[in-house]
Amino acid sequence: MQKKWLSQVVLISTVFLWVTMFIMLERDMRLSTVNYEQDRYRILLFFSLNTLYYYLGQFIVSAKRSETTKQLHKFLILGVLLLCIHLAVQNLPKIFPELKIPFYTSFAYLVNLGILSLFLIYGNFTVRAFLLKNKNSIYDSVWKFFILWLFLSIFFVFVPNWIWIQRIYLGTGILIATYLASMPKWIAYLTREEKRSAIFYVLGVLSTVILLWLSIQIYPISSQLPDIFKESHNNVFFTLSFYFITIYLFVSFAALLINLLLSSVAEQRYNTWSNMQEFSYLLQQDFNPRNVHEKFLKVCLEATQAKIGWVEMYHGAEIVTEAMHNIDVPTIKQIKQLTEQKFISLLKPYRYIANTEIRGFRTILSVYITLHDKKKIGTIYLISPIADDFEEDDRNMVVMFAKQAGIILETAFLLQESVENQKYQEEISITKKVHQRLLPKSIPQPYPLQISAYQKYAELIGGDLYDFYYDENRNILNFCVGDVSGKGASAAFYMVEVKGIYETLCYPENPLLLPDKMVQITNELLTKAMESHVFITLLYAQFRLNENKLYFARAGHTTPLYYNAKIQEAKYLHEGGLAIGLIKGDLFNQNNVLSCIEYAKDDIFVFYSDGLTEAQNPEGECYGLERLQKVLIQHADKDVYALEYAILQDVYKFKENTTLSDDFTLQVIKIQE
Amino acid sequence: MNIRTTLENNIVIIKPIGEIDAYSSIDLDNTVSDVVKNYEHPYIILDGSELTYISSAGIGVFITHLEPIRKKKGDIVFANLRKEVHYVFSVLGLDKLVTITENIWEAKEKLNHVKESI
Repeated sequence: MQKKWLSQVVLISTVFLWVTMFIMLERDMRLSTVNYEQDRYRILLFFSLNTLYYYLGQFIVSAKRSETTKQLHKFLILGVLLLCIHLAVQNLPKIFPELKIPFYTSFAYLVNLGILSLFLIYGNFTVRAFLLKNKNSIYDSVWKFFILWLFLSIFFVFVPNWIWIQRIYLGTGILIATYLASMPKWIAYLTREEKRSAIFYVLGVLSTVILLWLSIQIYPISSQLPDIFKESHNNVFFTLSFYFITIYLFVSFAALLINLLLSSVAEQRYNTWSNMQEFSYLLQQDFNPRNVHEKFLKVCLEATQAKIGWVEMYHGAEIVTEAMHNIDVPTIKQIKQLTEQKFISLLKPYRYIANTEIRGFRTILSVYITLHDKKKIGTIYLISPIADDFEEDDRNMVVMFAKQAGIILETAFLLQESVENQKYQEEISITKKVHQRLLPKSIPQPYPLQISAYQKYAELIGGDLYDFYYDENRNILNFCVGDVSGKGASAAFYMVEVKGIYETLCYPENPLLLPDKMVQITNELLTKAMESHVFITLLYAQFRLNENKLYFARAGHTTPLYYNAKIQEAKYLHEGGLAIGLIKGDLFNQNNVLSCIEYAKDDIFVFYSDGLTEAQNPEGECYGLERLQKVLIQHADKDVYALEYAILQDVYKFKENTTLSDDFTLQVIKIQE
Repeated sequence: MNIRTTLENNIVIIKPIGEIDAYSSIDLDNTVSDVVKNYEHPYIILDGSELTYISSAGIGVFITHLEPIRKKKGDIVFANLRKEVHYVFSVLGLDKLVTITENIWEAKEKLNHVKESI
């Protein structure tokens, strides 16, 4: 607010000073005063220059990059406008002779002086805005010193006779100005388009400045005018300002010209880098490897100026062309066949053929895309129709890009993997919940049976299932164990089906079925709907407690272990047929057999899934059937819970710290007294 | 796991070396699929002399292709199975579904019988 107020005061005083000068000058000329006071004008000019300097200075602050050309544009418009006014004022008396009166002469004189002051001071500040782009402390001090030098030159108005001192002062000033002008760094910040317009503006401003300066110099000044103004045209402040602006603009013009001529090369490099940057940035928003391939090819084509190129990736043993430019798949095949033998690697990170002698495809450069472990995941091919067209630099740059692409693709793969892994974890947790619900909540303990059941899940849930149904009226316990091949959600889906079928088959209101019939029905029902690679192993058992008999049918499931207390022997019950889902109809039914064991007191049945017998120790050995048999005989006198504990102890001791690859279930059934 | 395939007298001998787990069963599937697709009558011998373990997914591969192979009047014979693998086959009842022989020579005999019966 204060500044605004101040600047208005300054503006008003500037206008006031010029008006005063005009009134005085007009009067002096009209009266043809000979001995007028020169000092009055000197003081007025001094103050008017100062106020103008201050007033204009506040408008032109350090220009932003985007405004450099805009400022040049403004400067040019102002220059042309002032030049026109100057020429008009100059030449009006030639058209209208009646204007040759003291009033007009002094007016024209002051207008010219004002135009020159305005233009030079404005120009000074515009150039300053450009200069301030140089962030260099020495340069900065020199600039400040020059400003002071320029400002002090205003004082020469008071001593018009110190010719030699003026000349030395001017010479020194020009030297400093030349130093300042030697570094037009602002040009470097411009884009190619901006440089094109800047060169036009700089040339325009430069010619305007010179035209205006020369025009005012050669203008014949009436002898009636006071000396001070004659001299003031040539005074140090104006001259130094003029030289400073002219030199600076000239150097800038030259620099722009050279820059534009050379920039096609620099621009290409710049494009490459910006592409590279974009290429890296791509990853943050797009995980699609295909886009990475496209971009990678584009970057390499631009960097090498190659006309043809393609990127191929290895998917296992298969090679897939992921991105192409100016070529098609049959041509690629043909070129690869023709050139496969000609590649010379020479321990370089690329393969290069300087001349293939194939028309249109003379130079071939091929670089592998590798992961950080040096594994090759793909190749880029770049082709030029001119022989030996790729410089060593270009080839190395492609190698660098290929490394970058490798990193990006690897990250993309990892990201994809982690996303999939997350989905997979979710699937596991859902499957676990489903699985939990499928297992019986409580286990019936109909006399004389004592039953224990144990299940252990692996990280990836398999398809182990078991279930008990006790029919009180018939005093029959139905029991099933099974295992669906495969893991995860699809296995759980089949488990649900099996459980549903088995529950229906055991339903007490339904007629009593023997296990082999149940297996047959299950196979018929399930085989229709199952996928071809899935199969289910099942064992249906039926304890007829009134008859002391166990009937069972085994459909591909693990062989149950039976301990006969009377002879103190344990044996596997091998009889059984095909797993569910392998085949339907007669072949299945022929092999489907019913087994029967007449059990007695203290006899034990052990049911297990293959996860238990296939539990591995660190040496990769399986727990196996014999160990299970041995541990059962050893602990046969114990109750089911102690027996279960003993078996598990044995298994865990065996497998040590190896993780389970499959889940396992274990059911122990003992006949009590 | 590695898979070595050889062609003898129009019989493809597939020899997996190592373990066929859920992951490597994909390779096995590709190999068997190719044979089934490319031969008019696919005759396959699976040489199990160096197969140490087979998961349910691996078995799934064979049962998937069994029907298509037989539809094309071909067959698959398992030879030289190690004890552990043979046990898995017999528990599942696969021995009732496919031919399992002691050695390659026997397997070839079996397949030649199949050939003649066309």
